[in-house]
Amino acid sequence: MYPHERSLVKKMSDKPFALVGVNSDKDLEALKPVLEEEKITWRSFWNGKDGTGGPISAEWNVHGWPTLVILDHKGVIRHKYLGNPGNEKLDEAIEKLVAEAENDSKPKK
Amino acid sequence: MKWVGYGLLILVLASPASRGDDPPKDKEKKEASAKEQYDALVKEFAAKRSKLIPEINKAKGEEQQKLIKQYQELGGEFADRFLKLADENPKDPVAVDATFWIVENANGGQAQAAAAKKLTALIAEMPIKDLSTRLKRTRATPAVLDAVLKRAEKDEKDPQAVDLVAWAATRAYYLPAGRKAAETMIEKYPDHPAIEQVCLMAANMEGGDELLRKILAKDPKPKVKAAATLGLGKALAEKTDSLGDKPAEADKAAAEAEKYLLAAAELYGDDAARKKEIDGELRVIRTMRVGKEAPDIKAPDLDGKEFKLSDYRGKVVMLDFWGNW
Repeated sequence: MYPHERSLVKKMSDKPFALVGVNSDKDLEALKPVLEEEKITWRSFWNGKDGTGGPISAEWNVHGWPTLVILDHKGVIRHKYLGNPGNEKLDEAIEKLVAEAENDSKPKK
Repeated sequence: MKWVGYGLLILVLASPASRGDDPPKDKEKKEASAKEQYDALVKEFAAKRSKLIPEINKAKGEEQQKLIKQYQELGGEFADRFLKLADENPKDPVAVDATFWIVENANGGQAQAAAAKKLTALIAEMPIKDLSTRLKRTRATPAVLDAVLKRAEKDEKDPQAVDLVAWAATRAYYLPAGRKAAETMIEKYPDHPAIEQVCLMAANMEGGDELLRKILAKDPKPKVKAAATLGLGKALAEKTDSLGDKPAEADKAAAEAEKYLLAAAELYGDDAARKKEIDGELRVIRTMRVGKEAPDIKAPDLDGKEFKLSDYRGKVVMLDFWGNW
């Protein structure tokens, strides 16, 4: 899913949107060349040395990878997907929430 | 990049069950050699495949694509040899294993078509008990599933036929035929030992919640009731998370999920593993489901520098639990 993530980040670069990862690789040294090669520029938390058994995925009760959780601009969980639900569906959900965020930041009359 | 997913297709093939009869010596010799040939083929295939994995990891671009293709087509390359083995030893149990092997591992091609035909005939005719045993190490592909369910229907009067339906219900819950098998189990065989597992699987099934309500409406035995209650709680929790656009419905599903999860905790009583599982589900449905404010995350990034999820407040965030595998 890297190509779609890259295009999403690019497309949304001037919008109130951020892609944040929670990475569950055990070996960060082995991961570094991949970050470069795949141009993974977005920031990720590290789930720790236990990989998929790490504390963040445990706290969030994540048992399948990838899992995508979409939060709105107020930090409320709005969607959860086990696996990529399809690029179109994903974009639609994000765009809707981004429009909400933009609407909210307009000065109220 | 996600080619490693094919690793899931690796199958552990146990050696074929030995037969109870006492064959004359020369026949025994022949059987051993057919089996030896089969084992050698399986081993050769596994070795070739595991050799390809590091090569794929190292390669890039076009070269990598080529190797991935090789990996995917490896089963097809072996299929003719397995087919020959089956044809040369039609009475040997190895013929059954070789036929199953081809259907599971070859990616299309003539040998697979031939094997699939053979397999349909085998499933239709071999003793149900042997078939049940063989299915324990068989992946539920649509073709096999179809043949197995036809067999179960044909021999409906045989008390062992229900084991075939149970296999379909527990192994293929994600396929329509598997779902239908689960319905059959629930309608006709609520006392079958596999029903507990069917209930837990149904949590992941599309429309599983309705199916589980049907079971509960029948006032099943305690063990089944506990499993169906837990399954329903989980199914409703899943449903909640799919209702992000309909907050009122999400709230309703969440409240119901909580009710069933609490009931399941009661029904399972002292079962520590289940208690832990249910506690996790309850925590999520109460605090981390769709519609709730996400808890903060404060942890190091991949360079060891700490940051927080709440740093992004004001922006829509896609939190992506990922790994490069």
